[in-house]
Amino acid sequence: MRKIILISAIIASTLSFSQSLETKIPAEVQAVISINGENLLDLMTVTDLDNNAIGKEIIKDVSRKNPDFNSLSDFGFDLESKAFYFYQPTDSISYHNFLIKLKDRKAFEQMLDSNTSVAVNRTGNVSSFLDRETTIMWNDNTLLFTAGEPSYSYFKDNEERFKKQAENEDEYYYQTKIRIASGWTSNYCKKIFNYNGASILLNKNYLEAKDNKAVASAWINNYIELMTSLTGRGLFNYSIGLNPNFNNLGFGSMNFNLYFEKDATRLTYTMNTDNKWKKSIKKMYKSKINRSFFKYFDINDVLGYTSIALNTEAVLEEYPNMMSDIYGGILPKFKEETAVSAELLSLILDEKAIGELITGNALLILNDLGEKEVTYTTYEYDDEYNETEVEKTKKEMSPDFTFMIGSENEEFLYKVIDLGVKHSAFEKNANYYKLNMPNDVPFDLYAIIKDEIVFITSSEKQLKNIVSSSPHSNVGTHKNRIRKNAAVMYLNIEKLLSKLPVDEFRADDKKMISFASKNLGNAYYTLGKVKGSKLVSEITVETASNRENSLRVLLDFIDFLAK
Amino acid sequence: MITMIKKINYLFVFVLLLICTGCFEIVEEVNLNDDGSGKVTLTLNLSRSRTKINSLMLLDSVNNYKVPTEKEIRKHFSDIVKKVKSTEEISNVANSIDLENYIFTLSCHFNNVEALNTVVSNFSSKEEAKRIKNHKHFSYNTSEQLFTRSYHYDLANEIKKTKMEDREVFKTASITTIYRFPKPIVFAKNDAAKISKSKKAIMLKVSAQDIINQKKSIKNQITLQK
Repeated sequence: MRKIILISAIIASTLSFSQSLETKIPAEVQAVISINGENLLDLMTVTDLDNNAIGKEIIKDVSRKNPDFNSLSDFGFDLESKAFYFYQPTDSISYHNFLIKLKDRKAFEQMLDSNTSVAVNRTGNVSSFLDRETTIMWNDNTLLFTAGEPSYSYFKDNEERFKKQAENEDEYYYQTKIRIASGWTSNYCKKIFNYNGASILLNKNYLEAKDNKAVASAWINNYIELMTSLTGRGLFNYSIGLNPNFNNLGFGSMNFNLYFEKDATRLTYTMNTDNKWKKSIKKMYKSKINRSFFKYFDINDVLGYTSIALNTEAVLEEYPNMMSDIYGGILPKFKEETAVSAELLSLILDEKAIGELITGNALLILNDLGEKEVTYTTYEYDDEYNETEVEKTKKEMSPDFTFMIGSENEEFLYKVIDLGVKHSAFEKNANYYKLNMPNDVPFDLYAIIKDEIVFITSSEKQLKNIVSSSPHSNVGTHKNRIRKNAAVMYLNIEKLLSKLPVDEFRADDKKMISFASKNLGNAYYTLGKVKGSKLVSEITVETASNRENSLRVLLDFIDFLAK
Repeated sequence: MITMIKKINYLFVFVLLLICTGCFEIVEEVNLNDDGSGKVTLTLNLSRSRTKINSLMLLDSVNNYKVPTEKEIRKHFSDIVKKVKSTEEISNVANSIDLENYIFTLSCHFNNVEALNTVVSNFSSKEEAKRIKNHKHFSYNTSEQLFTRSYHYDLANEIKKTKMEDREVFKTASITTIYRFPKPIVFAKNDAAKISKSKKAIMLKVSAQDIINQKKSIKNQITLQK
């Protein structure tokens, strides 16, 4: 029997131990941010953190009052666990909470003791600390910090009622306010510390967003409600009488996940849209960069590019309504006006015709950073210092770029260009047009219409390639990336930096550039197409292959900045 | 009040132009006659930064500063010219503005160098003007045959108030002063200044960088043959 009790006790205790802090986060919170200490410490040690500029700063600060403090582990927190921040707004007060596992209660208490004169209460195994609108509660293994933020407008609107609650005649209203808010906060903290009700883990959307591989994550339950709670109670909005209504905005929950991988730092951002917007956005993004674009794309001639695949016709049809939702929501007083202007816009525009003229497919490429000689005026002096104006030359950076814009109405484009030729804005050549640029623009521009694409390029090399009957093409993995996503931005950091005229840069910038080119690879931003109700975008910055992992690069970068 | 705000605004834009560009030359030339009258020519040459200014001019505003249009620049410059014209003992005011190369020149005759101090004061605040009274920017002592160029601001200090990265701008900026006299120069206090073959002209070219580092200054005391 004793064995059974013992075993069940062990199971229960491991269960309660492994039981995540998340069970204390109520299901109805609006935002959760988590930092995964275990994942973080897989990539580096606490000593690494201590020796980093940020760690050093914290240690220096705390050790001033507490000489025994010489490592971040001396906070007493379990740095290998997951720590959480969560936010719960109400009409009268909003709560900011931090939840973290404690490893060394004594160390924490010592640290707290040396930093504050406020007394710590202890009831049984639970200690608490109360200072104005802040309450901290902890036991041997869990710490909860709650800060209450009273609503300005709520206390303003209920001033008469609350004034009656003054403890004595001498108490000012702001004192009453602090006393009331402080009571609420302490109650809330107590409730959460002992919480065993419905937790955030019951929220399907939250679980979906969670990724245990992430080092840090943020989740926002409902962008609309969060915005309303953040903007609705501010002194600013209250005083100018702006009362935005975000309920028409088609955003739902959103979340971020940050990853430090061996070869890249990655940040993903997912936004959920409501049904109304989902349909609109889906239509707008229903487009793929035409394959003919890739015939003219040679990655060896690319420092960076941006691709956009939109359906112009759908954008023009859907956008006015979305705008009316957005502006009608932000400026409710002008709801009718915005609705009418949206309809008017739809009336005027021939969406289909415009959609044919500009399909919504575009590829903007930075090919090279060249140099161009420019002249300037300066002075020379004779023996008697009489001045003569002289012209000298110097080299300036001149970008080589190519814009490719899809169009299905070449006939109309030629008409426009002919008009341009007539008014000598263009110069007609055998198979391209040269734009007559003002003298001071440091590059020439050429326009070509071919394969239902309008090309505008500043590079003679690209011009030759585009007009040739068998242009160079080398797309590599970019084809997939561009075709799969609604938008892509790409930078070849190393190549780009090698082209910069570093000699003219300041010493600090030079160091920064050298750091970046030694440690970073390519950088990408992608905006995916709508999947279900989700819009996912991602930023990836690759790390040089000789680096251990991307987090170490980041730490080095912080050290570099701090120097 | 509004004009004042406008002026401040222009000043910002002007400073901004310098900040964003970096390369500029200022040339101050004074031809002094025996009787203390003379001619002064001031040139601001931003031509080396032409491309950058051209690209700036395409924008409406940069960092919340409004970028002036060509028309506004001309208007502002003509306001300056007007103000100089209205100064007593100043005559023959001439100016040129070249917005293709961004070169501005302004020249005038003065009856005595004191008039130059008045011009500087007219472009300064009341408080600054008071200080200029006690600390002349230009003076010519006929009995001592001493011509002095000075200023009361601590330029290095003023520049040090700006942000480190903004200061970098002045890297290639320079100020040149050229003074001509009817008599030969005997002595010049600023040893960075070069005296011409005929000894009747003196030139001093100082980089803004050296002014910041307090290595050099455009201040000078020039003694002429009696």
